[in-house]
Amino acid sequence: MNRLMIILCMALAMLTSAAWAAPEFEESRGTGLEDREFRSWVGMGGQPGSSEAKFRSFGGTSAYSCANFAAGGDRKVRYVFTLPQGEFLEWVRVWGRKVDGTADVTLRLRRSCMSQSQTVPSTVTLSSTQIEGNVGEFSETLPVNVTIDNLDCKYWMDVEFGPNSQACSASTGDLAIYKIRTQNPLPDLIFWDRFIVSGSN
Amino acid sequence: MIYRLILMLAGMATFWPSDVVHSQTTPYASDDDGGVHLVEQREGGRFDESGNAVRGGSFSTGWVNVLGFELRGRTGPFQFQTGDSTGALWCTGGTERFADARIDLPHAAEIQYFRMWGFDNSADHNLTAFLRESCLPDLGAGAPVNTILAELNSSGIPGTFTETINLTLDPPVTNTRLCNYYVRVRFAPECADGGQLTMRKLRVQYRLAQ
Repeated sequence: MNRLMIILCMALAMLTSAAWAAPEFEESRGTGLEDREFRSWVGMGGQPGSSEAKFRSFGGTSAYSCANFAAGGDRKVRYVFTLPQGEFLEWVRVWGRKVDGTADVTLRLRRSCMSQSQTVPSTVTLSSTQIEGNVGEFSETLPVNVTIDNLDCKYWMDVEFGPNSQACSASTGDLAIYKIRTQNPLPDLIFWDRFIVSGSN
Repeated sequence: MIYRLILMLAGMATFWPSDVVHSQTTPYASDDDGGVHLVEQREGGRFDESGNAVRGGSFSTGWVNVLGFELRGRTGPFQFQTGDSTGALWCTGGTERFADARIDLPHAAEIQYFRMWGFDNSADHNLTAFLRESCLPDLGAGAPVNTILAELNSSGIPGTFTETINLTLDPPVTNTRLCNYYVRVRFAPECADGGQLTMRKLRVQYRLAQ
């Protein structure tokens, strides 16, 4: 009987130590982003500002490349997105390419809210930045820090390739958006197999 | 396994959320005159479409919004312009006057309300929005079966407007295995009136059983 108890205790100890040594999600530990959620859109997933906006994809990247090679036309592309109700949008990151001789790029994270008793929305810029000069490939972050309200509001990244009084670029691929990505904390992590409180690491 | 069980118990005791801010669970209740209203949850309270506070029940409510400038012309030559602050889109010329946008609804959701916001300063034409369903066979080939689930029209009173339709008495139930859901907007023939007839936003409110 005693021998059986010893064997059972040893088996329990081995099982426990094995589980401790080989957590199921070890590959994500230590990055500091286990409790974050990301959503992304390719450049061509945007909506041109009007039928006068000229654009091309290039290089098989599904990038949105401004193709207004002369003055005139529309320089806007918008990335409208929906995140789960009540989540906290922390950051939006934009990847792209901008070489010498291209128009400056303005990035604005916008929010438009309108209740069912209103007919004129309240639209504000939550965060913005400008990309100038010959930066080549770029990766730009915009801090946002806003709680998502899907009942009354809508959110989008507004990208403007300079004024329409000049060409935005000389050739395809010189001025392009590769990708847009949102970041928000994961809610209720207790149900996600691990027990990290959002923002605690 | 045991390690995870211990962690789970410890985690439940320590981190059980006292304020479930991410929950969309909302009550579903009858109002005083016997009618049933879907509940909209807002910060600090729960309200139905009329703005009345409600109580009881357990359902999940969600909303899908589409701004005007998310619409895409039904055909390639669709000529359009958009507004920055209003979210609006309007057609500017040519023969194409319809534009569509996908509505990303969950499976088995009851569609409760369909609402649109816009601007109608046209004396001769109204703005129309259709909520549509397009279904295909589960595995086999076939032609899409398209159904108009709801239709809204601007009233003709000049200026900004919002119109809604209540579908709660016989709500369409989504089936995302077979069907897609989208809105289609109709502008004036030949895109007459241009920026005097603009679509600002569309919203579908739905509920899911818990």
